Amino acid sequence: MSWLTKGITYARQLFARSSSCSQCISMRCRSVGPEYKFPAPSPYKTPGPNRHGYKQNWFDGGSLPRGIPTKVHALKPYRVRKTWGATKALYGRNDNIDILGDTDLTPRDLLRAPAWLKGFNGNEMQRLIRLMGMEGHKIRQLYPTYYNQNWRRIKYLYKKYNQHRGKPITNVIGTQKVY
Amino acid sequence: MCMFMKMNVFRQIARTNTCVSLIQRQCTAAQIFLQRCFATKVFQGDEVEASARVVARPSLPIITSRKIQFPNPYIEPKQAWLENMDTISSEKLGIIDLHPDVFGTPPRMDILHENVVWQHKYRYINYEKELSKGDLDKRRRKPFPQKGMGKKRAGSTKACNWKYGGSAHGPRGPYSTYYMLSKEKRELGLRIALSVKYAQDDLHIVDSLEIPSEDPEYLQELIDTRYWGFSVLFVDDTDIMPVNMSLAASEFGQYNLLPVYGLNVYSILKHQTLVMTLAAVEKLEQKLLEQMHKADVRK
Repeated sequence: MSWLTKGITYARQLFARSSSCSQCISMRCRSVGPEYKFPAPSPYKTPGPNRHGYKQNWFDGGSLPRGIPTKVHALKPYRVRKTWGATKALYGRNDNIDILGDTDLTPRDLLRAPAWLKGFNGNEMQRLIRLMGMEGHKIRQLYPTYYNQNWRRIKYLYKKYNQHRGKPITNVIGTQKVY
Repeated sequence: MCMFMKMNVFRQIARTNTCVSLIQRQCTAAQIFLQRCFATKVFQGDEVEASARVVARPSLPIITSRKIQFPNPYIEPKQAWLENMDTISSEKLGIIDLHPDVFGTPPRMDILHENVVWQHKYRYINYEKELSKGDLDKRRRKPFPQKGMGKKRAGSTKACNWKYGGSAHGPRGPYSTYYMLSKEKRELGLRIALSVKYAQDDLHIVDSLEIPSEDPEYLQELIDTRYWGFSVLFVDDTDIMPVNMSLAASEFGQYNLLPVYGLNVYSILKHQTLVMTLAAVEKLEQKLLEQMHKADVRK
């Protein structure tokens, strides 16, 4: 009964690819039992082989994804940067025109930006107020919801920046607690 | 005979939004001296190849010194060759003096860094915007009752923790990072950049940017022969450039022409070599020294 004592059963089964799941292999591994030096006398038996089994989730479709109908998420194709193109070659020109030029021009006059941001740097509330002051009449006609939202945002930001600030002072005679 | 011919004025405008008025060419003493002594043959079209042309000149050197405005009494002036653009290999026309405060400033990397960073930041606009709770176009209603649902209590579906909800602290609208670097720091940055170029042998001074042919290969050969590097910045005093030079340089992205008023630290550092005309040097020195030593009240 050596075939039993050795207890080797080797079966490799490839399950058919189901349409829903990915190309995975489910393999039944060799079922091996413990090796016994001396066979047990009858009627005693040795523990037989156990089918532990192991399912490996391997992609077996090849080295590269092929034939997959869905989009492949890969790195973007390399794009050569034009460091000596028209805009980049002379980047920074006229930044010292107020020092080196003969006119009253300053680099601030040469900026290209939305009108309410040309040479202006401020927090959100300041920017919104400036925007509404300069372009508000146009926004009111074209984008009334945006117009309303902006004023509400300005109100909200005013309260956020200016109210409920400062350390509350205790042990002070009077009702005012915040200075 | 003075024969600086400029046929068919070709303007290389420095891409400004506003019109800059033409500046009259101010001939300094050095320029007049050169114009009188300097004689070149004018060649027609394709008669002779550029490399084979012979230029008739008086005996060299033409110029050995230059009068510096407001010289520094304690420091000797720097010296540089005066070269030409008529021939492929350079002929040294003479030696000129350069102001030590403009071309001999001790290097300061932090000032250069500040200038370059400012040049990028002051014109940068960030257009990112994330919609806040109030910007969303959604129902304001309470989605489900307070109790009894087994869900986390919610007053609206616009909250930040909700999917497709608003963003509390995201970028809010187009904003700018504009600020102005002081004039002192900017002119110091220019002086340091010029000094660095001079010290590293990347600064060359030429009599003018007139070249005999508009063939871009002439310019390429000239630059390769003289080992001027991959990229060259040519600086003239006015924004009207000679025809041939403009046409030849337009074929290359790395050879660029600028007037003096367009100079900046970023461009000086970006180009490997800086080539200036004598008139440009005079104007640049005058402007930078004026800025250094003027005592106007700051606003």
